[in-house]
Amino acid sequence: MEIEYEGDKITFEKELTVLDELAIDFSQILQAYEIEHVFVAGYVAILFGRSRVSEDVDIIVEKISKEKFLSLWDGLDGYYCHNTSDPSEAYDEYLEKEIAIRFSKEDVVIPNVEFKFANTEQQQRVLDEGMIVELNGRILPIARIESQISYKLCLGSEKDIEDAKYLYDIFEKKLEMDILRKKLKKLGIPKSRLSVLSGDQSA
Amino acid sequence: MFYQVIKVHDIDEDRRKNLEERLRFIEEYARWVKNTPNEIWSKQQKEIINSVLKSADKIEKEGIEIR
Repeated sequence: MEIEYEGDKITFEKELTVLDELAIDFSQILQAYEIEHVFVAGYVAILFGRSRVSEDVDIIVEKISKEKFLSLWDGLDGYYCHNTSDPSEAYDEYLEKEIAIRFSKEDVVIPNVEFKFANTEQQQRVLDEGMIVELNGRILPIARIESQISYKLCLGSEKDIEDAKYLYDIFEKKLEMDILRKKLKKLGIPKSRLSVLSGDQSA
Repeated sequence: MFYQVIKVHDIDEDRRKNLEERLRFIEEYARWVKNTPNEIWSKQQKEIINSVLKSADKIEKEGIEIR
């Protein structure tokens, strides 16, 4: 794997999956509207090579006004919303009530983008601490790797632990272990769970 | 009926062993990705993900007919 990891930026090139193409395309629209966002969850492990499938890419978006959301909706040319065709309802009945909405390209059901606002303090922190991936010359903002690992360990399903393990193994030498330990502590995750990843019982 | 003949303890033990085995495989796979040129691992990844998602989308749109 040829990858450049400098500060808060990761640069690499790869053959793009349909998930990568969807993420890049959707992100470019959000960037055009200057809306802050980060990709999170399983897609991040897939982005860096994990060979598993997900039906969606999850994205946390800064909380924007209804006016700005309506403008964004108009700009999502070629996409439809699974939940409703009414943008006002999407904002009032879903996003405002902290329910995610899903967008797909026209004529496609899978994959889709799961779109939600940064509603909690933790989600806002993930958004604020985001990092940049430059993939084939395109910009993709993602949550920092330490946040991904700690959150996946917090969720705790087998799939989530596997994603955390994959990211840990790929970025092992670049991870800031103090930050990772602090995040685990904040989420109330016992240190022993970190040893699942490293195999080091003293972790 | 099925659940009555499986002890909860056995399921937990099986799950633990299965997860350990999965994590060992992921460690091995991550090592392979790190030591393999991007064009090779990403080509394989693309073939798997795209083919599965294409099938899944077709099923979502057309449904499954069981005869």
